Amino acid sequence: MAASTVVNGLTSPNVSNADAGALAEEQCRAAKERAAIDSASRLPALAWLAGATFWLLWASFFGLVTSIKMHIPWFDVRVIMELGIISTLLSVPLMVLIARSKNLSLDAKIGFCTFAFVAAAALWLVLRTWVFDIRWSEHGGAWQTFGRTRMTHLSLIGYGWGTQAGIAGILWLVPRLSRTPLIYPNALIAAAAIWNVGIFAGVIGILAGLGTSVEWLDFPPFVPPFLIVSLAIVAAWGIVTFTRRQESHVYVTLWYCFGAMFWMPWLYTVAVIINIYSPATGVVQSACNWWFAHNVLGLWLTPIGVGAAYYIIPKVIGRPVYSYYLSIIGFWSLALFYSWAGMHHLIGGPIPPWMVSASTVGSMMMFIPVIAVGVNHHMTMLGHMGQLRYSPSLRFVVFGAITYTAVSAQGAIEALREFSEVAHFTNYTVGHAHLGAYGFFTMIMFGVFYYMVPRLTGQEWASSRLIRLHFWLCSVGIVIYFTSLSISGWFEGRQMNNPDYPFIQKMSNELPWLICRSIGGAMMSLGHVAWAILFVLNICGVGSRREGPTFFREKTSAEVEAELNGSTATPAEVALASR
Amino acid sequence: MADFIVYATVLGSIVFFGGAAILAMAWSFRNGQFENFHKSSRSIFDADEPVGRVTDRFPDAPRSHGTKNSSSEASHRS
Amino acid sequence: MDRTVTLLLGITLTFASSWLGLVFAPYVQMNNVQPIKGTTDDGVEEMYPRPLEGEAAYGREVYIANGCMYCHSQQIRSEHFGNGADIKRNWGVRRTVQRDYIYEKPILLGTMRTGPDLANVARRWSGQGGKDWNHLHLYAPRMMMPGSLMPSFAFLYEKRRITGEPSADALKLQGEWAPEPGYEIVPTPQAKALVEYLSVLDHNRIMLPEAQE
Ligand code: HEC
Ligand code: HEM
Ligand code: HEM
Repeated sequence: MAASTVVNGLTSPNVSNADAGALAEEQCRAAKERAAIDSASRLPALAWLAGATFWLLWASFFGLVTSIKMHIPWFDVRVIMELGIISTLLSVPLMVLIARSKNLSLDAKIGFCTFAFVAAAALWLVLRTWVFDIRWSEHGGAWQTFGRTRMTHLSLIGYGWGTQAGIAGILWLVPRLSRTPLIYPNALIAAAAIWNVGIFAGVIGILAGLGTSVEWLDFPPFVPPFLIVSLAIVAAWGIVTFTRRQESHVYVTLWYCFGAMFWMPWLYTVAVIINIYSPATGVVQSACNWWFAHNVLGLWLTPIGVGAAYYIIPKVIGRPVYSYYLSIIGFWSLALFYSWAGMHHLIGGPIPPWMVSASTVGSMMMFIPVIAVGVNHHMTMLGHMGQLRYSPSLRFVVFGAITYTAVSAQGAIEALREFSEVAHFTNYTVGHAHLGAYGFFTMIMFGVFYYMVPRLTGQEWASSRLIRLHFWLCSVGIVIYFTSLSISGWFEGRQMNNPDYPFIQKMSNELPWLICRSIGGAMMSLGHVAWAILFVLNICGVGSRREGPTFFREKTSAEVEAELNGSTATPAEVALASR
Repeated sequence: MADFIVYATVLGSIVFFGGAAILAMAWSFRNGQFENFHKSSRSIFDADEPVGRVTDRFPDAPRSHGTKNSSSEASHRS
Repeated sequence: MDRTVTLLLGITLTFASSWLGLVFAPYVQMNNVQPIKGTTDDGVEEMYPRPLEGEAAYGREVYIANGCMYCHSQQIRSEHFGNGADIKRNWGVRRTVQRDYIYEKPILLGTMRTGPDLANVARRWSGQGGKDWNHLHLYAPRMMMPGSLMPSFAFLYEKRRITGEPSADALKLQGEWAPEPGYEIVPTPQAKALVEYLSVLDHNRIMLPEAQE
């Protein structure tokens, strides 16, 4: 097996035996090195990812609740919670039976478990309505009022999911690209713990009525110190890792990751001081608020997403990026222009006009990095689109990369005054927000994790069907979400600008679109459940531990060696053992 | 007091972060990060996962697919 | 090497400049805006703006805690913006400017208009009548405005058994919103404070010179 397959994939078919031997040697070394690096990242990266996945579910829950409350204002969350708890209790015994069964395939098990849950929910719905006639006391509670669930949703999206997902990706990408194993794993795990304690306290705080109503900084004032400490640990780790790197070329993804790790603590700390702890006068707060909120998107989530795509796309299809020169231009022009664009959130507002103009210019200049990145990502893919059928991570990442081009073009147009006159203050913005934060960033991160997790755990994904389900639910969901809100938002804006158009009429026109949004959002949330199941199964080692290594490639001589020695260790373990 | 805090934050972070950014860029120029693009773009590949090798697929895809880069090869569901 | 350093400095300074431009410059330009003397619609001379005090200040905290900001903006845009609809809709008589907000911590400009702008809501719902309307509307939005998408803030009210005389501030609810006989709905201190806040919420109290167009 060894020599022939090992050489497979390298170009020349007529290498001599000696060359082949040297190649095999080199290949083995490379595989070992990569496996050792991945295995050093395993715990910290998975710790952050576990936090991210946990909060993603809650963020989706609160997003869905917020969405439903917009068209059913009296909607009571306790009904869903009751339904969830009771159907879980009813269906768990069945699920245990199903999971224990010997003759069912994993896919079948997952299917039956889902069915058991849905059936239990339906049963309880019937019982509670017609048999027990359960009614909750009339008026929800303060904790579940729209304003608080919305603050919770956005905070969980930004800090619970987005940031943690980003850091999980960074902790895997940066050591890999620096070719140096991750150091100080315990500090990073502690940082994750601190971060999650902060998030938890923050969510409870918002629901208890301590939210600050400063968009993107809604957490109560006792939360930021947790987050700052945690970010500082990650940033310090980043700097140390950079100085220890073994790879002399700083690949463009590293540029983006380091930029992000450097910008975020700065942004966050300053914004918290000027907006929360020692608020500046009047609209200076707004300026700082949107300088910050925009940069969280542009200089934190965006570089991680774009950078990750710069790694995953070439790596998966095995083709270097189309133009490395363009990618460097793209990075520096992003750094330059994005930070100027924040005031486009305040067009028409009570801030000095020159600031808005500066941001409009900044937004227009963003076409440079966006085109540079777009050309690069899409040209790299050109001719390899067929791969989308075979690779889950590529599918998610390419979806995200295409969306990045789209959302940025859309954003640049939104930054024009004439356009903003209509679209600002409407659901059009929310559509754009989800196209960006979801269609671009979230989808790319899913793609990264589909590639990353098996390499960290040495465990294959349990179910291809579930991955496909995840992809289709999320992608169709976001398309429904975006389309309905964009249509709705445009009409809202037009109608509000017509002073004779009754406000209440504009409001009822939104209804059907808001319902569509809930449907799209529900699909996305279900997709997230599928993801969470896959993730947990993978962590727990459930599912087909495929014959042979799970690194999506043929065996290397290291593994063959290991097998000959009768061990079934993964390459990561082999490499570790030989250290 | 509030004035002072804001001034200190703003100026302090410009000095600190601006300085760091200058150092970073100075380093990158000196270090030749702006040259040799061809090699840089290949730095993510190695002998084990060389250019031309596809490295991801659905877990239920046939193994043959993990090795060679061709899209005409298999025909399964998507 | 020399050229590179120049280039570097150039790029870094441009980057740090966004900082200077978008945070520091506005800070210098706006942080020291002072209140000025002016005449209200009723012909009273007073300093404007004035910081909120007492109940109204507490009411603002209730507004913040419950995220009203996520459906209601508090800014009136110029008559040359968006067809001048903000003013034509009677949400205000002039655009709002920096000075209108100098005492607001945190500032609540808002980014969404699921509901109408509230920068000057006190002008629309003024006096005792306005307060009563606001209480009823907060408790039962769809009683006051059929089809409204605003959530009920009934948790700011208390249902009490009537002992002796009904309370003076009990809500005059009708139809399906009325409590069962023998009970009454009264505002909690939070609800009273919130409504007090709404009844002084007026960013157009004085015509400011800089807001003239
Ligand atoms: C889900 C979005 C939503 C939230 C949250 C919300 N509102 Fe409203 N609000 C509306 C809508 C829609 C209207 C217009 C229909 C109506 O009058 O009921 C409205 C109308 C109003 C009005 C009447 C304005 C006028 O010009 O007549 C006031 C006052 C008001 N809201 C106050 C509040 C306060 C105070 C809060 C927070 C405690 C709040 N709203 C939270 C959606 C919301
Ligand atoms: C060149 C690129 C982009 C430009 C010029 C741009 C422009 C804008 C503008 C003008 C708004 C404000 C709309 C309004 O309030 O009227 C906005 C909002 C938003 N954008 Fe973008 N956008 C860009 C890319 C992105 C990307 C890549 C993301 C996602 C990571 C994103 C996420 C958001 C979000 C979340 C909001 C809503 C913010 C809020 O109100 O909370 N945008 N964008
Ligand atoms: C990971 C996935 C998600 C991300 C990244 C995300 C991101 C965001 C962002 C950035 C905002 C602020 C928008 C703005 O202020 O303009 C927002 C608001 C919102 N999101 Fe999400 N979201 C996600 C999932 C969902 C889901 C599944 C739903 C369910 C329907 C949902 C429903 C909402 C609602 C209702 C709002 C409030 C909009 C408003 O105030 O009008 N989101 N989300």
